[in-house]
Amino acid sequence: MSEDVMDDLVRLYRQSAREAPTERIDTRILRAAATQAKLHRLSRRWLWPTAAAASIVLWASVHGLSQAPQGAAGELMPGYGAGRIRADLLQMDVKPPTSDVARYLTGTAIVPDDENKETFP
Amino acid sequence: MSAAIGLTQDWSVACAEALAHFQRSLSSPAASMVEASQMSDAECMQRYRQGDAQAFRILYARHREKLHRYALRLAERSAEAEELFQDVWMAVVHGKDRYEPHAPFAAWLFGIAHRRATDRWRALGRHAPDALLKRNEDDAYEQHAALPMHAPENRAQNDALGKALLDAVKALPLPQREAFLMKAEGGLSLEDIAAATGTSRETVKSRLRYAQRKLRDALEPWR
Repeated sequence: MSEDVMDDLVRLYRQSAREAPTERIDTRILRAAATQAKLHRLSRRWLWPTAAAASIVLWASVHGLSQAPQGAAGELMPGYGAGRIRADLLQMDVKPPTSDVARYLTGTAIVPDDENKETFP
Repeated sequence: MSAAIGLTQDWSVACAEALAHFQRSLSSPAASMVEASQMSDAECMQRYRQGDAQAFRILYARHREKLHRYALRLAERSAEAEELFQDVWMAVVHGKDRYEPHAPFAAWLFGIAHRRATDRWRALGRHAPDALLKRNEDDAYEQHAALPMHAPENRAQNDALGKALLDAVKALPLPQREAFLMKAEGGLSLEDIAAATGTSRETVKSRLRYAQRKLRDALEPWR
């Protein structure tokens, strides 16, 4: 391939070929490009606010779900609340008071006697 | 008194600066246009990827006629060429993130055009440029050696020569025509044409050699 001959052919071709696309096609393509660019700009502008809002919604939903089972189970399972109170009571310190005064004050007298019953109804 | 004079001077300087800033802001669109028009294709593409529609306009203005003529000479009908042309630019618009700046934009653009044209021809059941690879190029040369000449004698010689060349280009086998058009319209190197058409550099060189021989023969009566 001779470079000079090819260059001459290319030069002559460029002088002769003068066709151009129609204005209608230009408008359509440029409009599509502008729309795409605008969408890109909008997506960039709303990226951080949208991400922040999504994070808040996610956090709120996760937080809400973590608390939901207690109420939901209490509502759905009959006796759930009573069982829970019983479990809490079982975990409490239930050692009986050692002194009589303490027993009297807490009202946990083990053997009720008649004298006391009369004196302190 | 001196404090009052100082305050007045500060105020006038601040006003002058504000006015200059306002004037700069007014003239910035034109300035940015000039700045943008001096950018390379890769820079324009980079800016378009960031949402600058003006950068795309510059790219489009630079390459629209070249790509249109490429499509026009590759397709059989002008309506088909317009469809291909629009299809390629839409692919650029939607696939802008796939462009890699280390390759020339024209090579990327013509590469898309080649693939779209090939798909279109396959869909229409015609010979795609790649399908003709298997043909013996010497046979193809013999087949297209005699080109029809339609230049009237009373026309200016340059016009006749130009028309004969365009006719001869149109009569080239597709792979040779495509290689020649990528060189003539896109200004692509052998390597870029090879990358755009998915062939080797030697194949492109061979196609261009055959194309050159046929075009030169076609123009022989005007020499």
